[in-house]
Amino acid sequence: MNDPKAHLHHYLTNAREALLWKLEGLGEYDIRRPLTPTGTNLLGLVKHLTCVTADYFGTVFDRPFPDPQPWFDPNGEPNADMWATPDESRDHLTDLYRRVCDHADTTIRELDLDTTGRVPWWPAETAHVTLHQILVHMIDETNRHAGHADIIRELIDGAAGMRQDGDNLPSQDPAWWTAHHDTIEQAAHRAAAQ
Amino acid sequence: MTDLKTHLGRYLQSGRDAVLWKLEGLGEYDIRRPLTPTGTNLLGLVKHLASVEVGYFGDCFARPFPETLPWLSDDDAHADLWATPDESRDYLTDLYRRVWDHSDTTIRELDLDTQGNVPWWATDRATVTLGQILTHMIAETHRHAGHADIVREGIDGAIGMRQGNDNLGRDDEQSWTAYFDLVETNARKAAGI
Repeated sequence: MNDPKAHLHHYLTNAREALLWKLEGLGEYDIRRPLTPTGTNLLGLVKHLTCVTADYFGTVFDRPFPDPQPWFDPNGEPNADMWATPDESRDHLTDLYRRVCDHADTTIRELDLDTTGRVPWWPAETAHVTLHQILVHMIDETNRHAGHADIIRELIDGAAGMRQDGDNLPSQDPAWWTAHHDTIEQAAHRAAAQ
Repeated sequence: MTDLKTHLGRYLQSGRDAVLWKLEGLGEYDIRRPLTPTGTNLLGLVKHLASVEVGYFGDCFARPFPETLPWLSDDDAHADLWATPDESRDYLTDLYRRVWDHSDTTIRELDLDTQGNVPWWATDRATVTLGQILTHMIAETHRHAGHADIVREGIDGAIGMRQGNDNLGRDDEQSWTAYFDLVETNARKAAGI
């Protein structure tokens, strides 16, 4: 079946679900702790994508999410949407993300791919967009952050994989992975010594 | 208004460019070393993405890439995830660019609804369109760009969405250190530790 909107929506949904999956099974500290010098953390990635999803599928098409949060403002305090305060529970933020995605999905379902919108925080010459472009943009952004979550999760407890229903990994054997890692490390040293 | 294919092509290219940018300025060891337990490494991501594009934009539309990639006929199905010492950075990055050109010719010459076939997918999903494969490669390329972001930052702290637009709200180390401390403190507070 050739349904471009359904394809785009499918890829967006997969990326959203992969991101949420990366928090499963971890405690409160692990989902919030910064794992890079610039503070990248799992629950912050969920919070950020909530904000971005509400902005791109809500504000841009003049169909705002009905429960806006102060940190949705793209001109607000830098990084306010990239970490969770102690009073923002995991359930609160993941439920909010799901509600924002449901709201976005209604917009996606009800509008045509060539419906136009406006992105006020982009330069004027690129600000006029279509639903199609925003779907592609969000597939890009959601996947990029899912990639961040992949590495962050793996660094926390070694858990890896593309999606919950299909990890796309060559092996489940820790010994295989240790050998694979060592092969790569040795090759890296040999190449650098050449 | 820009057309659908042009939009898709631009987003694919931005992902490709980001991945290559994440290798710039690093030495041989750093572009190859595994930074995760499963061996994730920057040059391996380039090799993998080149291999994947060859399959999706070449084989799936019966327009095969004209060069043989030796690791694709290897017994080791995961040889595309890392570079051997004789596979230089220039060889693999130039290869990736040649693969882009080949893919882009397919993208330019075919319609978005042109049908293809993905033999390594389940039979009920194997018939695809060029539009679907473009979307798939945008998703995959950007997911791996995300891997490259964190791996690069782990090597030398370098960050940013793409060359020319890092999309970051801060630009000095002191500010990032203060932000890191803020996030760490609040993580501990939330966890009661």
